[in-house]
Amino acid sequence: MVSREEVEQANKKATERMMESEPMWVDVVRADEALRLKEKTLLHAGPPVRWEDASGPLRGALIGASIYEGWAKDEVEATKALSRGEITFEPTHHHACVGPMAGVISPSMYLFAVRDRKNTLEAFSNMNEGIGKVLRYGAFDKDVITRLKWLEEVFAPVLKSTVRRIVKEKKGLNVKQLISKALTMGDECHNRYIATTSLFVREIARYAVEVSGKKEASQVLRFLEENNFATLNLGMAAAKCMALAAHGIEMSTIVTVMSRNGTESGIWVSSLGERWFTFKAPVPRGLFFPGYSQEDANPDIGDSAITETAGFGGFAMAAAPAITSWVGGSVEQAIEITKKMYEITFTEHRYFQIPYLEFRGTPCGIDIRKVLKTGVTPIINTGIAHKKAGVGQIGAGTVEFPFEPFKDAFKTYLENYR
Amino acid sequence: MTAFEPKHVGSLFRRRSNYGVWKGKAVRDDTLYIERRGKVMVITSIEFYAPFSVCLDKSFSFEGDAMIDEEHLRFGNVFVKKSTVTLEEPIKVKELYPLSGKGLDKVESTIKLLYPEEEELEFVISSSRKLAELGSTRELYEGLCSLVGRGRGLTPSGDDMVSGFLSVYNAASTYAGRRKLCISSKALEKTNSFGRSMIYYSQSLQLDKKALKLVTSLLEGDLSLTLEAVLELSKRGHSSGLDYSVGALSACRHILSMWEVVKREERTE
Repeated sequence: MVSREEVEQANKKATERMMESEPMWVDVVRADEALRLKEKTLLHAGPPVRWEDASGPLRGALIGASIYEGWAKDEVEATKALSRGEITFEPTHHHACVGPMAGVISPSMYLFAVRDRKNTLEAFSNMNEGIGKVLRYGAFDKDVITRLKWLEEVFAPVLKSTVRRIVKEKKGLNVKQLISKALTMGDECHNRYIATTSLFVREIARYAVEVSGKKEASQVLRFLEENNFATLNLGMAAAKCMALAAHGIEMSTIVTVMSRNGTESGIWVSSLGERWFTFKAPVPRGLFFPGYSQEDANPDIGDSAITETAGFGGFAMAAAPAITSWVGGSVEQAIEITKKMYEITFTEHRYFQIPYLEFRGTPCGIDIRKVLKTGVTPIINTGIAHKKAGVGQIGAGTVEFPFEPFKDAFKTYLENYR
Repeated sequence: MTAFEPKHVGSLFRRRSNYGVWKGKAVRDDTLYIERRGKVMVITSIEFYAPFSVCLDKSFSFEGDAMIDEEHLRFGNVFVKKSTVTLEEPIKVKELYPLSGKGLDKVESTIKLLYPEEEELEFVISSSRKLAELGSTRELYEGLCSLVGRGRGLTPSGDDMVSGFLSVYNAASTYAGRRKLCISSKALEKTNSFGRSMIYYSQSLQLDKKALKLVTSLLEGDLSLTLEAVLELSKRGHSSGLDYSVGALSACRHILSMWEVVKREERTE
């Protein structure tokens, strides 16, 4: 049987690797080139799910991606192909990939490529479309497809040229630094990316203008100006890199994936390989756009809980008092959430700090033993999707991750290390 | 007393964060509402306070420190709202075939993995080892008495251990037709009313569901059920459930080494 000291050492190693990971944005790549996807295969957020169990927003996003790829001409055709298995879908996490909300990635989509040179790891995430009626929230009408095409044909090529210039000059854009700065500027880097996106624009604007036409550069900068969430996906890819660095450490009880597909929430644990521990996804609570209410909300969905897994997002709520106007609750509660998360994490982050808490490091490295011991589960900031396919985002809020996956993971851990 | 409803508890609970057991225990189990100075202070695991429900069910007045009215118990200036939870049926061990050897080691390792604080863990484990080795009943009784009131927490760690030990020891004694061991009222004065109450009901074998599961599975030698019970108990208090489990394990070790009636074959699965 593994000893307490051995587990402590393993967890120290895992969290050190997580904190010391240096994710750099180094490229923009097409999904089919980077991920070696099988033919007619889509990726989606969260643990594996069957079509018949998939929630409305996930179905909507899969339908939309099928139309975008030209595999189906409309909703009916796409639904048929998906339900018959002619178009297949797999979890993003199985490909070192992450996507917010439905997280659907199709072969023609461009991805942020983030590389951690220290640990020789790479992770990817798709481009963010903005808020409201967007594919990741399950919308798939003409406007959604048109925006995806624009991202593919204009936005991604400009970013690709831009990042390649940045790589030439300074080996890439250090995303950890970006997050670290933004946490001291009022972002928690899951549901608030205002400072991050502003910093990002400052970093890339000159290069974007230098490498692309005036018209394209202007369009891209305009899009970034209007989309506060433009860097969410980049932050998630960086978080995935950090979590990957902590994954696969023998005897470690640190969580390296937390994700949801709108039906189930699931986790991975560092020492337990790519085995999912899942439970029914809870419904987030929060603030809703006009015309929508709690009753319209779909259960929790998205890979974006990778941010909490890596020690920011909901765990850094105390850094982002203004977020309460977006996800609900009070500033006092935001601070309490961060404080509570210290109870279930192994350490405090060396680089992500919270000014309000006297620059205390964010809670880092969820330890399944502590979740089990305290009964406290991770709190996640999240967007809220309508439960019906095709509608899109209806609000934002917070959600408590279910307890059961942690319990099941610990039982498996005991079996493995008896 | 100020009226309150469960909806108020969450916000008041969040404000409360000054000390271990009082903090963070309103999570999964059925809840118990505690009021203090006319205000709701905290909610906690109902099973942790299961002995209190006996007070309610049996109209038991506890050492003059507890007052019963229709709705509340009072322990000093802490009020406990009436709950509907009742204790399990008296414990019945089907066979005395205690978990032994590697099985006990595995359970102890699991407890160590979950234990919140390194320093306390050392105290708890070393005390439990000593208890297990005490030969005569007299020595054992004195050893147990020396632990009463020791340690931190609403129910001090020592009380939790003594409770766990006596639950197992007395359940086995009942099965084997031996004399039960009980801590005297005088010795119980060393601790607070919560600790006293817990030891009293544990030695009387009036246990809640989770404790019952642990004691029975330990004495019947079922490793997986024992582990399951430890995991369930681990959420209790700051380290209360784990201390209880350590005490229970210690009693098991004691019985295995000191009694002759117990089958000694190893059972690891």
